[in-house]
Amino acid sequence: MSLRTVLAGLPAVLLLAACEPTNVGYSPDQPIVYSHAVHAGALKIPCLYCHFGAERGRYAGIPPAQICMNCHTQVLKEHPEILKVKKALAERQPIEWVRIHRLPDFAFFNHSIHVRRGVACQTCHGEVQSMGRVTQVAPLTMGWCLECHRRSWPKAQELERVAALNTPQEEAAFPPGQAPMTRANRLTDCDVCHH
Amino acid sequence: MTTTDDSPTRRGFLTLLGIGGAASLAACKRDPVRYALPYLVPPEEITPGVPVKYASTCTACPAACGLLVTVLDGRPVKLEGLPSHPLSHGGLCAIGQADIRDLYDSGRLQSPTLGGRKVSWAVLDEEVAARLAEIRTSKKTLYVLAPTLTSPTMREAVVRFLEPYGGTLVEHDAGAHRSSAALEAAELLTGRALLPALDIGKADLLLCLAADLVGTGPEPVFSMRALADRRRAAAARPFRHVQVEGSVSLTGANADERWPLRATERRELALWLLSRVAAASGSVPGAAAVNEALAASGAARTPEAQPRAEALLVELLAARGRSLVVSGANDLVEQVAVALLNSLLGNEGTTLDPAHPSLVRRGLDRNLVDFLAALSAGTVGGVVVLELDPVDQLPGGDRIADALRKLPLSIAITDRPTATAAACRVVAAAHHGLERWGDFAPRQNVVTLAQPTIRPLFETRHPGENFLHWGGAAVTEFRAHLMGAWQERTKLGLAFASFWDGAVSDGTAPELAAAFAPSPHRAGESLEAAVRVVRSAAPAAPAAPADGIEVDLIEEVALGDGRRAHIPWLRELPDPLTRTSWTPCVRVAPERARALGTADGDILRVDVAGRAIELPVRIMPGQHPGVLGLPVGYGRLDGDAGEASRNAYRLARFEGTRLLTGGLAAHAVKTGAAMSLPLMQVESTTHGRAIVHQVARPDAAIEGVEHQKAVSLWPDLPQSSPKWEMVIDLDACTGCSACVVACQAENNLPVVGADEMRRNRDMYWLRIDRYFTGDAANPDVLFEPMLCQQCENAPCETVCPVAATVHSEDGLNVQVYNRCVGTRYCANNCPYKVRRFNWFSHTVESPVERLVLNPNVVYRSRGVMEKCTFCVQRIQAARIAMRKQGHEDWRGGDVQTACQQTCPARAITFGDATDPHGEVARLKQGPRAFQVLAELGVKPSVTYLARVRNRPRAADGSGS
Repeated sequence: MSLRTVLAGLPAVLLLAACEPTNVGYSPDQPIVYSHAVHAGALKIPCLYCHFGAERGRYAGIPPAQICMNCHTQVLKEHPEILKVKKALAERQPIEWVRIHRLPDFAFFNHSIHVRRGVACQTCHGEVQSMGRVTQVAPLTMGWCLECHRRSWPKAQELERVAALNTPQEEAAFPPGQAPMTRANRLTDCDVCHH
Repeated sequence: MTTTDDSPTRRGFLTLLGIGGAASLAACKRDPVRYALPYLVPPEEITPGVPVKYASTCTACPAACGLLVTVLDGRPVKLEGLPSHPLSHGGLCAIGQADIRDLYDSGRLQSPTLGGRKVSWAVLDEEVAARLAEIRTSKKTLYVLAPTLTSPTMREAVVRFLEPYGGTLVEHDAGAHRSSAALEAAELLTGRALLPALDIGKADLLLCLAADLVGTGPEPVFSMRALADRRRAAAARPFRHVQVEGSVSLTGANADERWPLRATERRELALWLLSRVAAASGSVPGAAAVNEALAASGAARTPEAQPRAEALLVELLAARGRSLVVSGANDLVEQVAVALLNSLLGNEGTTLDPAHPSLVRRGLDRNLVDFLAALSAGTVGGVVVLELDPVDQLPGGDRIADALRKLPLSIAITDRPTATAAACRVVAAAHHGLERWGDFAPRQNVVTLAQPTIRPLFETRHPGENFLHWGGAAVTEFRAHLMGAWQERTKLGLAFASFWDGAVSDGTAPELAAAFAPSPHRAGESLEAAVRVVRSAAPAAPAAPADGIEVDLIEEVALGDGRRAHIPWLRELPDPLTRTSWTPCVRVAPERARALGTADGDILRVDVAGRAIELPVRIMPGQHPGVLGLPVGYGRLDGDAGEASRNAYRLARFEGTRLLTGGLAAHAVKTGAAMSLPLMQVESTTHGRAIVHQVARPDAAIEGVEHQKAVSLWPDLPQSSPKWEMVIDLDACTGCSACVVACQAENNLPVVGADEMRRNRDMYWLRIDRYFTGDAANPDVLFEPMLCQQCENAPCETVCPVAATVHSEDGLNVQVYNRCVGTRYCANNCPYKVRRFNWFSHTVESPVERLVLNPNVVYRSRGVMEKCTFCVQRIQAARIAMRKQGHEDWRGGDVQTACQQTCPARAITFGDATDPHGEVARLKQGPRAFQVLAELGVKPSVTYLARVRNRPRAADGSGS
């Protein structure tokens, strides 16, 4: 390859780097207009109240419609968006949420261990408590994952944020600031996520 | 690289084109919109992605082993043995492991049919009721033909259904191993046609006459565990296992000593041993009568190999009360002789437990013969065939099919199309075992429960519900019926509901066994009747002349009686002895093969009384030269075309009241045709290399292996904790291959088919190598499970150009599929040949069949290398569980690999080798420990323990 072809190729390579194929900024319309800013932000409902799967297992999960009705049988019963949830329950038709955060099939991510070890939801999902409509803010690429897995983590302020948003039980089980990262639990081996 | 000429080159142009293309693609590409549908109301126990384990019972055979079913997001994905089960102790066989694949099989019946048309259950019930009313008014009889019903409630439902018609339940155990004569012998001696339970743990000498205890016997998982435990205790109390058989069985391959004999010679040996034991047991009651009877019959002829027989006799007499003689022959004289032998040797109540008999074999051939006679005589009004295929699995199946077609009422209850179902007008599609409620009593003192782990996938019904519906029971739902039956039996009243929940959750409860009514025990003139049988024993006439050929029908470990022959996992599973896959073969002794002028793969025509079968030859050292072994289970109606001609069941023969499957006089000729056999292993010996070892005593060190410290070019790895290692005890391993199927189920291993197997492109991460050693005519067989050895100095890692295989801090050799570009350098550089390459994409197309895939393991795509990971997904799950509890150190014993979990013999130990108190560290120190190809210095993480072959010097090397 001549020097000239290398130079000619350079802009293309730069273009490729700039347009890294991630979904950052993805913010699709959802079937129900739901605001995290209201629920998690203004009302300070803990994330894990609805996304209870996040402390139990691999998936944080999208809350079942029944969870909405825990409150909305009392509050805003006739709101048009709540009527949609009611209709879904009555007709036994699951609500088709548009999925935003997605990892490739060959990467295994477990929510529960991250939550337990004090990683704030916001670390990966952004300031969801101020989002009207959820937007993907992190690229969720391997390099991005490893940024955390390579450094001493978690930071104290992150832990405080988890405590603020998690349930009281969660807080008791994991007092802030007590999870020092050691070499052995940095977990940068390939098989931690790929198996 | 630079060129002197600066003009554009073709290569430069293509590079630019490629970069530009990639860039523009990347800029435009957006993932397709994907949806996520959460539950409306979440089921109580289900958290998406979190597995739940339910206790249940395996229904693949009547042995009824305990199951622990892993259910993920509402579907079962893996079967494991239930550790608390009193008989199977957490083990599960290859067929049991594959049962989950059967649940999702696309060939299952999806709705009931009537005369070949799909109907609703209401229409089917109406039709059956109308026909039953006709039978009630006619003088004809009603039969239910079923395998041994281990389920007390099911049996009760069938009996109650038959009552108004004066009908008969005929239990028939399909398969080549007939227990009928053994049951009759037990009936003569104890008054009950039930097999006494074996207590191998109390035996110092096990003499098996053609009984395949650990391979395809009635309770292989139980027997394997018992035998392995006994062998493990042999350092303190020596143990010997002698096998006398014509065709090599898995049990024979594991024996300390094998003695190849024909069926008639074996029977003679049993009678001769009985006469000599009786002569030496003067004071034992009955000895004199037995002696007198044998003298009168003249059947106890001295065996040809007298010195060997004498040596065996000495051993038997020395182990009075601590020996165990078992026969697998369907021959009343031999079975009675064996029963009397055990009685005279004082084994009853020690190594044999007649008080708590086994209930997993109830099939008496005489009942089957009566049924078939009635069927052809035309006195039968209706037949219900419950999960059996007599048309395919009995000689004269065509006549049975014709008779079934002519009946006013013929019902097949089955979960898939069979030859019998094709001949029946009514086909009641059945739930799979994992969709059923049930109870099982494999022993008089063991009762377990089964609970469904998934809603029925198709429009099927619990087999028992059919009898409840047709019998007009008040409660027709099987779960309610089952609970009602046990509420009555346990008499727990109001406390029953909570008791029941606990029992279902645990899979068993002692109260159930206590409430299970034992069948009456009749003692009395039993010995006299048995002696009469011995007295009437004529000197057996050999089936074939001394140089002639006789056929033994055998069962393969993978297929058993053939009921599960449609499961691809089992079809591909290489036989532990012949190492063939997908193909039934005639097993021929090397000497006989030479005489016939045949080699492996030559098609042999075997003729038994005018019925012929053509199968390829597989030379099997250890086979008696006069005996051909023919596997049953192939040749199902729904198999590939031409399979019917490979159905060895057709060669069996009814003689009097018995179905003979062994010692059949035969004629064999080479056809001239040949085929290439799909083989898993080409070599039969180690060619003198120290790859596998056996020793004479449990505490003996391996000879000829120097434990030298290999010189290494690599620096030592930093010692980190944990370091995962495995120890495999070859003395416990029987080669049963349950681990191979467990690995397949856990790790989403594809099935590649016979053609790819012929190209040696199998995809097994774990295989069981089989080596012959010693006498070429009757060699010792050694099994060696071979999997990725997770070498510390892994040769594969140094040659990967893209670092797709690297070392983890846990000492694992990690394969990263998403990095692999498929150069296959690693596989070429692997000294153990355990790496597997995806030559094709093995995508599972059927939406039902893909439900079996484990969602925690990547399904590898074409062009990617894969191998054993030590079940790293389980390690990572255990690590997450541990660290969620705040621990930083492994507490040991948390992780079980899939192969280790299922092993009925507990041959595999896995754990952190840096734990000084761990089992792995302890076993590695033993005298029998060795590593395969240790001299290469790759430092494998798998340690093997040498096989123990306990043989007195005199018997060493002596042939037949």
